[in-house]
Amino acid sequence: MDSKKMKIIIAISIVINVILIIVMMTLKQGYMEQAQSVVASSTKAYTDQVAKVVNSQNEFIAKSNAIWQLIFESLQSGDKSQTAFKARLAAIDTAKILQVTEVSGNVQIACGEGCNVSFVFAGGNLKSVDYSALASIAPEQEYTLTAPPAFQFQAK
Amino acid sequence: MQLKHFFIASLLLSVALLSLVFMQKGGYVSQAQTTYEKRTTDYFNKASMVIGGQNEVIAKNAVLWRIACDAQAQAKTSKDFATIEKKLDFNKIILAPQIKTDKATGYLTRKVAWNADYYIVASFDKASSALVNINVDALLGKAPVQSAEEALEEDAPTEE
Repeated sequence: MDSKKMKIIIAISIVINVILIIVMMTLKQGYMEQAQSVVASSTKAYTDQVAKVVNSQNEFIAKSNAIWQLIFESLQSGDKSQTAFKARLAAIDTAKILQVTEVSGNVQIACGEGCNVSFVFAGGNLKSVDYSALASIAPEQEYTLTAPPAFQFQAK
Repeated sequence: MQLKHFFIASLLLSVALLSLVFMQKGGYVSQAQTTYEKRTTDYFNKASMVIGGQNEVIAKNAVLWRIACDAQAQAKTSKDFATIEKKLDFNKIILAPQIKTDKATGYLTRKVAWNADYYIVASFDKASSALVNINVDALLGKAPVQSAEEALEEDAPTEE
């Protein structure tokens, strides 16, 4: 091969190397930004999922404490009238977190999905309270965390 | 001859650069995966401890609440109370009840607890054993701070 041709080939080779370096630097920056972004969004998605469970558990604790207090005070009080019950309910549930429904004069308070505490009234007085659903809640089945999902990196 | 060497060096550099172009993605993915796994696993472990602890409080406090409510509705005497307590504590979470005389009222009190923070206290008339009152303040976070003397006194469990 003569010297002139060799020089041309070397020049092309150098140009290719320069292009490769530029491509490498460009991709490097892109991959770094993508990696940081994917880590941040994947981590946030998981921590949000955990926060949802924690918040839901905290809400249940606040609700169940209020319901237990209402049951206990209703059983303890000598005044079994519905008026006294309503006053007690209003005093305990100041934050308005309880879902209260009245059916045929009886009061039901939701303690979760498919969970209700029933206050049965007769002649305007509290006759009985059914809190078996609240007592049998298994929190470890309601409030559990799943392990973080596998990392997914989709490069653009 | 020198040009030939230069060409070979340039060619090798091209191959090396091309390899780097293809390998660098794997490097970033690997770093990102390590960071993600470390962060989320740490978070999972800490949150699991918190959630597990709260679940324990919910479940065990429910037993105390149930004892208090059932006793309030059905118990007339200390014997009735003890029967309800025994029946509902089928998972044996309750510590040995602490029984003492309340100096202020003269009532016999039975403290039912599953730990130092969560408990109920039932008071009984000493002469008739009649249930007088059930205090659930500790379950509502309203329990008074105990004096060291009271705490030490309760360290020695007593049975009826």
